[in-house]
Amino acid sequence: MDVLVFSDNPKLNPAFKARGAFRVKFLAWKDFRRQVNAQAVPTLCYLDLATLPAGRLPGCLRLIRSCPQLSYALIDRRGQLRDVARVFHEGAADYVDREALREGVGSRRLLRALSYLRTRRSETPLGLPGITGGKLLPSGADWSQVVPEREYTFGLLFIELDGKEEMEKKYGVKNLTIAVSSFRSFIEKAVKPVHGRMWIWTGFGGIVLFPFSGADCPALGCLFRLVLFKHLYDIEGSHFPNFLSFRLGMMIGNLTYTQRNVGSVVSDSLNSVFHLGQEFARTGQFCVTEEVLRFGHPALKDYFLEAGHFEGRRILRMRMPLHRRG
Amino acid sequence: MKVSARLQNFLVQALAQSMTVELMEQLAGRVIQGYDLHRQSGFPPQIPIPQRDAAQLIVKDMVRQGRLRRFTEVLIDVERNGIMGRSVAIRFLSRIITEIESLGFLYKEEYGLFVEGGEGLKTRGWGVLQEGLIYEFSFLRIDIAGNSQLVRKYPKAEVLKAYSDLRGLLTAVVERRDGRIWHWEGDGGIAAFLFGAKNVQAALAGMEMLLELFMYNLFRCSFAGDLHVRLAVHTGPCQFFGNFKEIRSDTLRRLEALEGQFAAPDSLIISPGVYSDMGTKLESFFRPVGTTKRNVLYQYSLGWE
Repeated sequence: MDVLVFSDNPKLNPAFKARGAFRVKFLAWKDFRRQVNAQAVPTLCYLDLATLPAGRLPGCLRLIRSCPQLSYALIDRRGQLRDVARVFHEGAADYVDREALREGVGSRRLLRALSYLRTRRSETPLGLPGITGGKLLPSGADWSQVVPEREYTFGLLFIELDGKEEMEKKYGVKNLTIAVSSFRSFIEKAVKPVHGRMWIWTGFGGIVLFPFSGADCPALGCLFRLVLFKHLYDIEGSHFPNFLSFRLGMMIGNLTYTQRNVGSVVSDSLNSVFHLGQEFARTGQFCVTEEVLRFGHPALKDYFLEAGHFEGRRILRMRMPLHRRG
Repeated sequence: MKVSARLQNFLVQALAQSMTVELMEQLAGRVIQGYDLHRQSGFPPQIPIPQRDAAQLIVKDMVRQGRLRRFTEVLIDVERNGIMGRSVAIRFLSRIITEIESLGFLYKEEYGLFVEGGEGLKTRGWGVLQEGLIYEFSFLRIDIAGNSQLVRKYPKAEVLKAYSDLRGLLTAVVERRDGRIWHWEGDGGIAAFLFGAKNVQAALAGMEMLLELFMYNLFRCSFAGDLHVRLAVHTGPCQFFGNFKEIRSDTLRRLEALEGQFAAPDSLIISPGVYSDMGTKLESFFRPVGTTKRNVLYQYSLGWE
């Protein structure tokens, strides 16, 4: 694993004594952005607060959090941070104060930090239906490892157009078929960058599966974007004359992936996501279970509100963007 | 545009095998005003010109005057819409289109034009505009708010990187709608739209830019705070020059005033002339705001529940 130490103080270098599986590199702050963007492998970044200009920490953390392969830890030899617990609540893997620096950051400490990270990230999502024996069975970051007829943990999305009865009456079968098919293409295109696959199509919506690595859930950011940019599709791409409204429900759960007879799949997770979308989510809403938000990008948390409990799980819904006047 | 012998050959065959000499001359006249085959060829007026000779001469003249693409656009129009109520089938047309597209152009059905397309070079004039002529454009202007504070607060390289990211976002939203970035000057720039519903395209590009900036601030911005921009769209005539510095335009001056005086940070302001083209769906996103003495302006901004 790569360990990058960002500091303008070369005296820190001897404190990092890790060997073996850890490749430690010392870098100046001026290289921060370039190095962070260049990292393609799992990397732990140690950030020296004493040499970081005031007010720059949030920006650095934002950049690190935007790269799923990166984790961070703080070096605080001047004791600048008062609430150390908060550092961990916000996602840090380690906190190195003056005392710890004196002792040195060796392989053992790095292993502890890594083990802490793994535990936090792979916590089995609580209360998920369909998790066999409470086990998380990661399907990976994409579809390359997924073998049909085997059970995996996926991100499951329910999506459905609102007001289908009215649309059937209003537009006629032929027009509706064309418009709905263009809506389906729009959804398929939107979820493609995060390897989303339309698995079941029910006429006015369906179920999209996202591979779930157990470390993060990039699908949340993608769906957030879908809702935020939806009105541009309404104006530029939609075949419907009116503004579309659709409901989204997302959860993480286990199911046996199959490519044949998907209509006859029996799965608690599938039932649950259908219920979440059809019974809990209201017109135009995007509801997610607590686990989805936990694995999603931390910056998105401010854009979700408590929506209550459903089938024993805490549900949050996305705050709606207000584009239109009035 | 470098014209291959193959393309010329296809065009000659297309003309010679699809229409009479009179029709060829008529279509050439749509591109080069007052085009006279007999004068061009030296044949006396009373002697008919053989079809193949006429076709070769027209194609040669089109190439010489750099009007081959325009002539092909006319042929496509005639094939699709006929002429004087008569339909005309033009042979080899799809091959001619493919040949031109292989030179880095894209035939845009909706505008009836070949414009620069694909991954090739994109010029300010779409490969279509002529220097010194006046065209009716829609312009989108973007300005990064608080540039001087950012420059003072953050290292130069970091500021430049953020501005370059922003330029990349703007280029993507503009070129997706067949617009072109005309000018970029560190902390802001100007994009131009010319074809189709240009006002709608410019306004949509501005709206999308605000949303892209929101996503950028959320996930990618390395500053402690957010980046903010002001956007404005205005439409009007402007004399075209490939070199932006040569352009003097009241429309651009008015655009600058709109953005500088009336656009709030993280908002898009559009002039009444632009607003009138928005259509029912799109106009519902804009609310009337702070007026000048004569006009009402319209603003779009992103809010949250």
